[in-house]
Amino acid sequence: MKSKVKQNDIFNWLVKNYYDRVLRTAIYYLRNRSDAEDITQDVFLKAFEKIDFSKTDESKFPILFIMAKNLSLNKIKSKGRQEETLPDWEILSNCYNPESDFDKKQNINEINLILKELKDQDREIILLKHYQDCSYQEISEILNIPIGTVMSRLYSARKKLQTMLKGVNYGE
Amino acid sequence: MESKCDDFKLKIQGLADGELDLTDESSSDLFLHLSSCRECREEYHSLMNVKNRIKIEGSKQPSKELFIEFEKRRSSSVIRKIGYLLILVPYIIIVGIGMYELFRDGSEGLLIKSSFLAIITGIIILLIYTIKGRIKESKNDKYKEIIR
Ligand SMILES: [Zn+2]
Repeated sequence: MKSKVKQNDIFNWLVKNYYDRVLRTAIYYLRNRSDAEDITQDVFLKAFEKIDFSKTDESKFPILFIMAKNLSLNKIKSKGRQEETLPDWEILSNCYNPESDFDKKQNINEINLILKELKDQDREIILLKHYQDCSYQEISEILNIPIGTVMSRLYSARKKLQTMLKGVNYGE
Repeated sequence: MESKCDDFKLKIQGLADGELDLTDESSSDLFLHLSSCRECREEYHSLMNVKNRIKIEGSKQPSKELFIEFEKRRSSSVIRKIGYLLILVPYIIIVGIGMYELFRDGSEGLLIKSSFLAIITGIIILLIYTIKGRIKESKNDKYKEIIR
């Protein structure tokens, strides 16, 4: 049996390394800060029992992501409409400062509009890469596709994004 | 872009994402190509531009509550285990002594003795199956409650 001190260390390590990314995932699906914080807490407490910590070189994010996504979707199903719904730019900026810089807000709003134009499959992979900070390996595990497919899908999604960004771009 | 450039497009993306294996021999081919091909250099820069435009800033840290909740759950599970032990161990001892006395004495009938044996065997079989099931469940079910 693992000692209590060691278990605490492992838990602290897990939270320290993944908290921000898991919270971002929950916020993305729930669009509500306090619910997202609750779900994130739940994810870590549950995940601790499930994760195989003996495989030290493997990222724990895929299982955390999948749990956060499912728990968030379940929460939405059980709760119905949210009372607090965060605006898109706040979700995508990971920033809760309402007086945040105007240009930044503008930029995020533009990107958000473009993301909405993308096909689901393209948007999903762009968000995993840019918003969840996933490695190719992590995306491959989350989407259950080979790494080669991750690279080519990401490439074509980015090409579309680039073309659309050029449409609204005001020059470098 | 030439078709030769097409062969490098995924590697350029890997470079921009910091996922290129620099020890791989084909990586030096890429750098050689980049040094001579303006289009591919532009491709790399425009990828970096996209990356910078969608970059997420700042990171959130957990509140102390999460760790307190974790501590609470840990200690409650330890207490539960101790509770089970405190009930189970004396129970087994009492039953054991009772059985020992019953069989040593020899005054009770064969029927009672064999019924007791049957009950004990039944309990042991159930116990083994429950434990086996639990172990199997915790081993295989990494993705329990998880739908992709
Ligand atoms: Zn080239």
